[in-house]
Amino acid sequence: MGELGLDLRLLLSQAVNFCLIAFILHRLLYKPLLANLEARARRVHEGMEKADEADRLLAEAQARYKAEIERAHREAHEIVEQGTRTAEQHRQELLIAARDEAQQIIARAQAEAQREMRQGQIALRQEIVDLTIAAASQVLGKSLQEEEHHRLIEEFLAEASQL
Amino acid sequence: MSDSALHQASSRPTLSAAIGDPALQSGDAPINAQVRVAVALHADEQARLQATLEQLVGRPVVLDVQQDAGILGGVWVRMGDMVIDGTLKARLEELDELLCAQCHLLLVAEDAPARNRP
Repeated sequence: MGELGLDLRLLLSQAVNFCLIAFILHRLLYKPLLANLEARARRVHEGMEKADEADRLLAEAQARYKAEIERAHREAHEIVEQGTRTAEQHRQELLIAARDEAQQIIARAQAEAQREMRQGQIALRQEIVDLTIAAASQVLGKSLQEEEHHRLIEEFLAEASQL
Repeated sequence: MSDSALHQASSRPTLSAAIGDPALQSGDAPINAQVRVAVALHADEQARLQATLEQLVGRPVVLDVQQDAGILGGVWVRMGDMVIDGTLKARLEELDELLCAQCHLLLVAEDAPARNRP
């Protein structure tokens, strides 16, 4: 050993020192470092899982939001259509009622005009009859001769005797 | 206007009170008869008129004859509440009423189909 330049005691002491230092490092440095790395890896993994969960929740929320928006759009569209239909129906009803009322007004006006025309006809005919009778009275009063008056008196006497 | 039309309107004198009126038939006292004619009555006409009226009421009648051109012709007599209207004026008024009534009937007949129309 000496010939090789090796000191056995130094070699042994260095070996012992190395082992001691390796033991100490293993105990004091490697194990805490490894535990720290494992904890960190676990936290990273948990963080990634939470991120995935957050992504999934976000996707679900976005899907729900989209569905709600679509549903709201459909409902709004239905409400607008219903409102349009109701307004159109109301307009039609008002139109029909207005037409009916207009027809009734026209019918009443026509009936009133006919009634007034009939009353006018009655009054005119009565007036004609009255004028005719008045004219006949004047003509008869002036044109009857003496003998015709006495013929009327004779008729009266004949008829009165039968009463 | 024809004479036949006048006769159609009224062929008999109008008697507007009951002949059996007790006021006319009670007692034998003469009753006053107001008579209106368009021309003066001949004596025989007046006598026959008086006889006819006496026969009608069953008691003596005193005539009070007045001329009235307004009756146009014929005779009008009033005894108490009884009136006998045989004047031409009454016939014309009756004809007037008849023609006016026919006007109404004609218009009602014209109006009936219009009322039945939907």
